[in-house]
Amino acid sequence: MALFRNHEHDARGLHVLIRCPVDRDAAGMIAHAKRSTEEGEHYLIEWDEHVQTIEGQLERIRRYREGEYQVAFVAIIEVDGEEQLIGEISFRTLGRRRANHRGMFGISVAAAYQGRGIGRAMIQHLLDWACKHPTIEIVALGCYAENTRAQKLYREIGFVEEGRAVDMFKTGPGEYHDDVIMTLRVKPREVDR
Amino acid sequence: MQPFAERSVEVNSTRVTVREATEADAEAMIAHRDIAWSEPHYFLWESDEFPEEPAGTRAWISGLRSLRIGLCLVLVAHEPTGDRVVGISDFRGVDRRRMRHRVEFGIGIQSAYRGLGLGTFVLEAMLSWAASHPDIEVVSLGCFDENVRAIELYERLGFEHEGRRTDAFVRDGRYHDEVLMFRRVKPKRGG
Repeated sequence: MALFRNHEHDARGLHVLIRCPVDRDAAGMIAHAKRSTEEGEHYLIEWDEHVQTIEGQLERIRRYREGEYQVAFVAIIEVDGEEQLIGEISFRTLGRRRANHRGMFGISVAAAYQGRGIGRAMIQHLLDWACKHPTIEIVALGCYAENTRAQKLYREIGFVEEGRAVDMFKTGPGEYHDDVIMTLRVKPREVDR
Repeated sequence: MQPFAERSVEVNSTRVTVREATEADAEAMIAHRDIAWSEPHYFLWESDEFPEEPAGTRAWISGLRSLRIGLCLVLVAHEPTGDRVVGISDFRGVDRRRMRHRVEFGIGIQSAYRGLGLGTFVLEAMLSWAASHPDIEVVSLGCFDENVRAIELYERLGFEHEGRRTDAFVRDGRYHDEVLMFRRVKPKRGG
């Protein structure tokens, strides 16, 4: 979908800009993915499985900009007059007509900036986008069962648990984690509107 | 990739084989789709969302065959007038370290061959293939909630319920929940 509006967020005195990624963010997105996967446990893929080239990130940025049923936002702060990318959220549907009214998102915020409401603001911005989208009605997410802090946030926003995909993630020998599936309806069913 | 051992069964005096699809099956698979998708169905994809040309289907088959975790099975009925594809089952795993032990599959059999135990026949073959695969530990599926016969079949084969996505599908203007199920095909490993 075309570029969506920006959101300015005051994260306890820290000014954060939430906006769609543009080409100049490619390097920042790589650095952010590297840092997030190194400092956090609850990710789907590991650092060496990430898109690590500028060209690859430019392609992702283009897809999110042009795809009808997908979107991404990045969180930007300014450090010494330079933009620094500290968060990313991305969303897409399955791309099939019978399921294009719902999609899933993934989110990451740099550990040093967590606990300031930045993740919450990014999710709210995504929900705002989804509300205004012509067809999207349901926003879903998957979350490591152990990540109760994230689940608390999702519940506060209004997400409801719909299931647990058993042993969805395997982080090492004998280390299995269920995937908690949560959803939020952002607008009424089409038939009820 | 892991080789699949072909199996056959006789139903209503017709021999039916389940085997891995090859590029040569593309036309027969399209003919099957034309029939299966003209009937009321619980598939995620609608008929016009498939590539129209056989080349697109060939590319899809060869793509699945080249994957570390992928499988495309055809159910072939050996009818007096010739062989015909009457069902397809496939899955595509996510080849990421943390997720490649769990795969999701889909299956579709045209109505003339339903109610004959072929679903059980295909799924048992697929599950035993999955059990022998070096990576796969859990097989999962999502299913329209009103597809009660399919859910009963999955339950009989040892699948357990793990969730329900409200309003996951829209079909002919109506909303349907998606029933989520899983089955472990080998014990947890390591640790």
